Amino acid sequence: MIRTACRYLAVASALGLLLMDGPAMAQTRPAPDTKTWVKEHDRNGDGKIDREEFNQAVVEAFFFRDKNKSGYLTIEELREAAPEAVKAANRKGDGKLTLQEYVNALFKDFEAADTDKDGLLAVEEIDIYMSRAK
Amino acid sequence: MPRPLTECVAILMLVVVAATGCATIEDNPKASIGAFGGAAFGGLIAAAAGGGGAAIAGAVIGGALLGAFAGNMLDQRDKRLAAEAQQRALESAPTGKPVAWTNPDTGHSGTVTPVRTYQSGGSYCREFQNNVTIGGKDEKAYGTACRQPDGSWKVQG
Repeated sequence: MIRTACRYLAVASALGLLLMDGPAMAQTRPAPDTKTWVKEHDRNGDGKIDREEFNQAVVEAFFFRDKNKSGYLTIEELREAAPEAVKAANRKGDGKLTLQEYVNALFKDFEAADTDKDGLLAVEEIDIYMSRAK
Repeated sequence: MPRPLTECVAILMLVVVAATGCATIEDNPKASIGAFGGAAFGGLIAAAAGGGGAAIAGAVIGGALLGAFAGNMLDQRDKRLAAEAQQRALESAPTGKPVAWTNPDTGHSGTVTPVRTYQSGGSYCREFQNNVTIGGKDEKAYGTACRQPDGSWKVQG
């Protein structure tokens, strides 16, 4: 019970920063909505995000979040995620989330969001997944 | 050398020069929840807005890498503008988002568009497409550059 509550709290706290980010992001252009995001990463034009497309999006997100280009992310660079979630993803426990750890963690979200288990994420699946935290 | 070939050479040289130029930057369950939950996608969507707080301090072109033809086709300002655009694109532009440059003096213009991002040996690398318009004709070239510790991007291969 407590664990479930904590998990949802972690998600909710993270969702608070869903469509906003730090100054570096803000100075370029506003964050797109889910539909726009899917369109931008849907390389094959099928209207959904497959695992390869998702992987590319994750790698790119890692690149932009790594402000000092150290090659890893710290909790400070992952403000939208609950610290406990970051710690769980950080298998080595050194506070430095590698690209592989980040990809592995995000693919858990991919699988969780992919409710029809077709290996593809539709806009609706992403929106529903995100709305669970509300 | 036929003009189309010289233009092609110019484009290829520009790709190399723009990325190897001494560009520097200042700083420099169906109801189940995955690892990060809804925030996971929030983070991805936000990141897609583009990163890069790095500001370009300046760029110096490695003119020695230019051949005579490319040197004739593109003037120093062309090269500087192209190098700056490439640095901005590789450092800050999301995949698929072109960064444009234009030189009103020569009429030459171009875009640099990242097409893929990955990590290699701990360094960030990005594949990119470089489009240049010279004399009203469009030319394109592809390249891969990896980020160096000093913030510059070095073309591979």
